[in-house]
Amino acid sequence: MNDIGKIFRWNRLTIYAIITLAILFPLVRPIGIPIPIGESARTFYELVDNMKPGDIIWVDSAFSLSAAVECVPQLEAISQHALKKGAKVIMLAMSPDGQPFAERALAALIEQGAVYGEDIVYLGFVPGEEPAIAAMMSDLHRAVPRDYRGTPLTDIPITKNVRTGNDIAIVVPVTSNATAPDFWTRQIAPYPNTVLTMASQASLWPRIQPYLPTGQIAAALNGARGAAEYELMIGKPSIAVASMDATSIAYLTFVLFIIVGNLAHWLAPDKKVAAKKDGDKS
Amino acid sequence: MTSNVTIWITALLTLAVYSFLIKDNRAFRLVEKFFVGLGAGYFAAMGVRNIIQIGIRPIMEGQLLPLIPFILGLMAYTRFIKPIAWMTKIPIALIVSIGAALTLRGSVQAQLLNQARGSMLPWTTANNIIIALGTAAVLSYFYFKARSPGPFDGVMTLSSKVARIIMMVAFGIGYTGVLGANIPRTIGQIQLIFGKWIHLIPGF
Repeated sequence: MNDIGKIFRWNRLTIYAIITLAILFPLVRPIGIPIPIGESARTFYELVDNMKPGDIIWVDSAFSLSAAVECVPQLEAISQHALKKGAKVIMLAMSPDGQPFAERALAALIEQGAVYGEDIVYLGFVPGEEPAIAAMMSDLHRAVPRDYRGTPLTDIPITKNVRTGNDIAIVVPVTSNATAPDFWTRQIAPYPNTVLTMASQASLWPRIQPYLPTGQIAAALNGARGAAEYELMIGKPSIAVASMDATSIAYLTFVLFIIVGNLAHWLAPDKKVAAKKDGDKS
Repeated sequence: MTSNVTIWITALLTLAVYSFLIKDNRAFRLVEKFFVGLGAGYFAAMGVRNIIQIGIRPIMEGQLLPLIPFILGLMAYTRFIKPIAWMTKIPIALIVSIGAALTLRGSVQAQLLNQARGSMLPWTTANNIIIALGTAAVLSYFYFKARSPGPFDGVMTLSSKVARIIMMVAFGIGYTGVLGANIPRTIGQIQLIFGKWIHLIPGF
């Protein structure tokens, strides 16, 4: 076996060590790779930015713990921007994992000056996914009579006049649920005045994309990259922006691995070794 | 290094998980079981809290409507009692029928008409041409018919080949998305270990 054939002897530890170093380097010494703003993130920003004071934005924290790194910055940046524009935020968690993140975001926003009940309200965990969305959109007060503190929605200034989907300007599911784009578009379709947007982890992007050209999802944020773009647009670069150099370098490392792996596969004189390795993996 | 106990515990648990890269070991297996137990416990606690908040509390306050889903929920457990196991079918039938009805409600408009309209684009840009021809090619790939020689056989064969390429590209993009989703998670763990724990990364 020549030198190139030795690549097949790399174990998981070597590959992980290379990836860790590739990620660690730009975190320790930031490179400052430019982050161009994508069309969808810009549209998202403009939709929120054009909200009038008093408009209702519906933010659903529906992501799992594993997607928190990507979705938490999205949740925080969108809510901060909406509040800055004078919009009223109705927050809820349609996944059990999403609750602690919604509560943490709520606490942070209140600390930044948002008044509970006047600017923001949290409905708590709402189980049921699609049937729950349909129920809330047709009659919110009947589907979720109280907020997470037990106060009736009729007694809360933000929610007392919000009865149906027609009273909501923008809906933002921040989600890691692969079927979310399908069921949200289905249930928002009967409310043409409500704008559906979506913020999600990167793996959901191919599921969201088909709905963007048709306008059924007006705009979407794609994972940590989308969050970083949004943070830049609202002028508050935070954790998502800080990790973008590392993300770019990690992707480059993967591309290099793919190229080197393919080259080694085709150039290695001992094809039996390559075939055996492939067989072991499968 | 930080003096925060939570970060210490989180970092050590993370290292225990990564120790699997060297070889399977007791620390990894312990953390694996710990996470499974923690997840199950969390969801069980959430379940109980939801039953109390959404079901029991309104009933105690005199609302009778939540009694219906509450009873239906109890009926789901009758499968463990043989003589009345048939009762399980009632809540399941209800869930399936409501689910199907709700799905149908917006499906025709959202997933058929609007998406079909979205693919009928003017052939003015390369993107639009790819979308229109790609959609037609993939649809034709799933058009099954008895094999008989016909005037359109050549076109159908060519369109199937194009469709296969388009689908491979689409699956590749999907796979990249899954791969890409793991990068932010890894970055998060590296920031925890090298940033919050040992303060090697500036700003933590």
